[in-house]
This record gives sequence, structure tokens and C-alpha cells, in this order.
Amino acid sequence: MAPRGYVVIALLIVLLLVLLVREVKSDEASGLVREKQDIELWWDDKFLNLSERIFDSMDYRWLREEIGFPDLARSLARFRKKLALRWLRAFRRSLGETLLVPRHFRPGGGASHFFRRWRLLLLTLRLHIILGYATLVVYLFGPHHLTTLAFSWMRFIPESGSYKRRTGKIHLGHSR
Amino acid sequence: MASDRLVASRVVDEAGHIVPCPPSYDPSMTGFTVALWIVGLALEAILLLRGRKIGLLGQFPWFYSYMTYYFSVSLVSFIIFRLRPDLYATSYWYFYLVSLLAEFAVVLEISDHIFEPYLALRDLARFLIICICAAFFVLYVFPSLTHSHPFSTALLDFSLRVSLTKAVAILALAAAARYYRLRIGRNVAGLITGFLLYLTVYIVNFSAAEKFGRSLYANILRFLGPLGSIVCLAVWAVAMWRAESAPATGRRIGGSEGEALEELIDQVTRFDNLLSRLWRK
Repeated sequence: MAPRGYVVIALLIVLLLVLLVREVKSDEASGLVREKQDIELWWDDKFLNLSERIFDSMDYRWLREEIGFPDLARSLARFRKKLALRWLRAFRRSLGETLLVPRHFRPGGGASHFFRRWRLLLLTLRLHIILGYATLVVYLFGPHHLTTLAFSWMRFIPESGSYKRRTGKIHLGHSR
Repeated sequence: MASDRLVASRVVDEAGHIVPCPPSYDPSMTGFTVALWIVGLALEAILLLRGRKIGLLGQFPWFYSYMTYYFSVSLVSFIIFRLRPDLYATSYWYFYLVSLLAEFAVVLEISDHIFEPYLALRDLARFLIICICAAFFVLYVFPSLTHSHPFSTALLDFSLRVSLTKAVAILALAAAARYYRLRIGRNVAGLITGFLLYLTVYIVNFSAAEKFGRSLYANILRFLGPLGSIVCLAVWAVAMWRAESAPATGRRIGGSEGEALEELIDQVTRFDNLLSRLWRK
């Protein structure tokens, strides 16, 4: 690359530095925490069933194929897409809030925590990847394509042992 | 023409080895160059003494180890330059290559300071840096080493690419902190700012050195490296004058690390199961 190219890169780095390191405003800083009261909502069965409807194509197909309202079906799909993107954004915020709880613990047991830390890292990483992928799929194709574009690698991390021990179940509140 | 310039950018040491001209190489050693050197040494000494006085040495062990190394190297290089200028270029590159490793440790320390209270994010940030560095090494730094060009050019190119890798890693950290809307404390913000300014100056300097050689060094570019270092040291000195880290937001949870990890794994698993349930449907 010519020096001119590197000068442009250097200027870009300085510009990004100014944008990224500037002071986070107090209302911005609390943005993730503001959703705190909504976190329990995610585990509510009624809310979960409603959430599933957003990504379910049944209503769309019923409108378009069974009663023959393709325009209405398209309108529903557009609305659901917006809703799905907002749902994913809210989900990301709630996850962020969970991850952003500062934990101050007694030191000790360093080596024995190695695998727990790895597990947590993989889980967090996977959730971020899935969320990014889901947002992209919904943005490009709509909410009804998540199932068809899902990856089989999604379940490569086993369930948490302590969670299974405490709750006696693997998945959330109720079975489908 | 370009190759002539490159030849001019090399110096030959006593053993007959051709080494690239260091970015700050000034064979005439003018008063300005000496002044830059002394100001740099003074700033490094101030940083170290101030850090010791306000107790920052324990909080930033890698950074202050790096500063100690940097101070010692500056002093030794100055002595070498005055007594054995023929050895200066070789010693410069040895010291520089060791400092590359130390700088990566400082980048990891910056990451730990930003995300320290957040168990999941702390390891995620480290993982992000390691991935970025590994990807850059495999795709960007390593290929330059396999090209068949002179050692001196390869060394400049390698330094340039490593500097860019570090700059991208630091920017990624700052972006991650921004994404989570974390407040970066004054100390860490200063470290990031100083580091990036220093790296950008070196990126420009190395790219120009590789391309133009000493024909330009003799005029402007030989001052650019030391000036970049001084700006960086000045930013660090101001930022590290007082110990001031960002307060952790949100409620605090105590207990042992194992309990905290298990609790967090359970919570993240619940989110994971919720998302998986939608996808399995």
C-alpha cells in the first residue's frame, strides 16, 4: 500500500479514537440498565408465547393462502419484521444488562474456574453471534425465515449443570 | 528510483549487516534531536515516579513494566548513540522488537481495566483481542514475511503491520466499551489515546520510511517518530497524574468467584435457551 493509503488509515484511526473515547453521557451510560424492570418479562410464559407468534409464519400463510388476502399478508409481514427487530433489540439490551452487573468476589480457586470461564465465554460469544445473525436474517428476509436459516451448530454447548440441578429441566418454563 | 531510495534508508553496522534506518535516526545528532531525547526521558521518569507516588504501579503492572523498559532502552540507546553510533540501528531494532511484545501485554491490560468487574465481558474482550491479533498475523503480517524482499524492507514492513494490528485491537476495545456504554476512566482513556496517537505516527512513519528512505528522513520524518513518542508520553503523563478509574455501573454482587460464575452461566443459559426455542420452532 502507498504511504498515502497509510496516512488515510492513520487519520481514520484518530477520527475513530475521538468518536469512541469521548465521554459517555450519563443518560447513555444508564441506557442498558434502564430495561432492568423488564428482564423478568422474558421468562413469563404468556410473553414468550406472544414472542413466538412474531417469528411464526402461520398467520401470514393463513391470510395469504387460506383466505386469499395477499396484500394484507404482506402488510402483516412488514409489521412483524419491525416488531421482530425491536424484539431482538430489546433482547440484546436485556442480555447486556445481565452481563453488565459488576461482580466483586473473594479471590481464590483460580484454576478450578478455568472451565467455567471458558463455558461462559463460549455461551456469551455464541449468543452474540446468534443475535447478530438473527438480526441480519430478519432485516434481509423477514422474521419468518429464522427457522429455515437456523444453524445446527446452535446447540454445541451443553446445558449448565447447576441450572439443570436446580430447575430439574433443560429448557425454559414450559414445554411446547 | 524507489530501490535507490530504499538502499539509502539502510545503515551498515560494524559486522557488515545491513539494517534499516530507525525512524528517529539522525546521524548529525542536532541539538533538536538531543532535546527531543531528553524531553522523552524526562517524561518517562515523571510517569514512573508519579505512578509510584500515587500507587498506580500495582494497578497497571504491565504498563509500568513497559515504561520501565522504555525508559531503560531510551537511556541505553542515548548512550550507544553518543559512544557507538554504528551500533545504534541494530540495537534500536532489537529493543523495538522486544517492545512489540510488551505493547501487546499493555493492550490486554487496557482491556482488563475496562471490563474488569464484568466477568463475561472481561474474557470476551480478551478473546476479541486475541482473535483480531491472530487474524491480522495470519492474513496481514505473516504474508509480508514470506515475500522475497530485503531483510531491511521486511523489518520496516513487519513493524508497520504490527503497529496497525495493535491500533485495530485498541480501536476494537474502545468500540466494545462504547457498544456496552461503559464509561472509560481517565487513566485508561489516556492510555488508549496516547497509544493510538503513537501508533498512528509510527504507521505513517514506517510506511514513509519503507517508501522514501533517508531522503525524507533527513528532513522531516526523522523528527516525526520522536515527536510522536513525546506526544504519547505527554498524554500518558497527564492521564496518569491522578488515579481515577471508571465507577462500575449497576448493582454489585458479592460472593466467591465460583458462585458468581455459576450464577452468570445460569442467567446466560436462560437467554440462550429462550433464543434457541424460537429457532427450533
